[in-house]
Amino acid sequence: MTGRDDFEDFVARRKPVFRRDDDPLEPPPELDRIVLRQAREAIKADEPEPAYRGASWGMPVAMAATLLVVFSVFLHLGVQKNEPKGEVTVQNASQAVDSMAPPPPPPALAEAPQPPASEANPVVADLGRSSARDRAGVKSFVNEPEASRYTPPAPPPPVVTARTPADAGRNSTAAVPPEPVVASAPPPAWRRDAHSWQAKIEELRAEGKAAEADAEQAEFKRQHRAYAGSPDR
Amino acid sequence: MEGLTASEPTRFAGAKRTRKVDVVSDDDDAQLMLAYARGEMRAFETLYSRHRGALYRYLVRQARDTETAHDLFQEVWSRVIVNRARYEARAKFRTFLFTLAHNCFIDHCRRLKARPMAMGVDDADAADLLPADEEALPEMQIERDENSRRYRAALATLPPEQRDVYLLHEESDLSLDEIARVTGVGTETAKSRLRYAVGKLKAAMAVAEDVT
Repeated sequence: MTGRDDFEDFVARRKPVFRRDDDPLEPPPELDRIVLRQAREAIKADEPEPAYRGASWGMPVAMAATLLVVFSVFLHLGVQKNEPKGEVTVQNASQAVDSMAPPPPPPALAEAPQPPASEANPVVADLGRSSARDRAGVKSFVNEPEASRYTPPAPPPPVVTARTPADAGRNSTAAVPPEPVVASAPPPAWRRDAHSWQAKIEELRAEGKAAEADAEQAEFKRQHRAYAGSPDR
Repeated sequence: MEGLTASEPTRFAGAKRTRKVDVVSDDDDAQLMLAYARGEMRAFETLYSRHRGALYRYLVRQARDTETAHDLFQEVWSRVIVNRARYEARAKFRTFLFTLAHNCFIDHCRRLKARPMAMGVDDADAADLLPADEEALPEMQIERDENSRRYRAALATLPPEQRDVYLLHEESDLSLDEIARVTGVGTETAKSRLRYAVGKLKAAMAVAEDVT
């Protein structure tokens, strides 16, 4: 390379001077491995560690537990569906009401003058009075939820009656006439308080009406549960 | 292969380390580097396979000691890896890589200056790295080896700055402007160094050929 043009050719890479293009000088494979491993470890270190890594067996165990719970729920529901249930009919309902009704009063007592409803059931009467007081603005000793528990249930809504004969014909099949409900007789006056009730029971025993006295005693115990636990009764 | 002479580390230790190169680049290597910074190892492997040979030859011929060249080679790639997040595609990746290599070599020379010289002449190292060409005829192989030896010997006679410019031109395929940026000098200075280097190499090769 003597002339200026030769150097310009060399600079422009149009003319190789000394270097062979097939220069075999290369880094050894061990050096390659070191550099590549270093590069790999560097980007691994960049990756964020997971906040929580569960145990390897956690996933299968969780899935098995879930399947077990689902199977148990379905099994439980299936058993409940297969249980025989008594049919609720009008006759069953009326029998149940009859069994819950108090025994009829003795004929001698039935002729006695009946107190008003408010006096027959002192609790209800008292609640009635307290409601009246509440309405009048007087503070009651019984709060509202407690009172609602003791108040008798609201009567069922009246059946919609047909206004026109056509409607009557249409509704006659749909509207079932209500069954006559056995009305319980108003309780006698001596049931107003425990002393008069017990006095009446003693009187019945003295008269030799043991069956009636036992019935009254049972009813008394049902209404006054504190007496039921008493050892001397 | 001749090691660095006693005066060379001192001369290179005074050389300037090159600052960041501010040139916008859209070359493929830069995209690969950015992909590696995002965590794609395959991008780095491609990048490495493209530049490993050129960088290795540059360092071996600069340091003229295989152990040192290996250390510098690892150090350069370590700096590439460490600086991956800060890398910006403002220059060609090749310029960035050889700037790192140039700076690593200057640092190496400074370290040598700081401690007593212990550079052994290891002429056989580079020759050992060359794989034997089994298909070549023995006469051709001998001639090739002889040419290679003369070339290395002539290269060793160059001043470090001229050798640096010459190797960057030959091994990195950088343009004169890019070589100037890598070495931290002006383009005309780089061109002048290259011109002197080529002239001296040619003269040294001719003398060696006449002797043999």
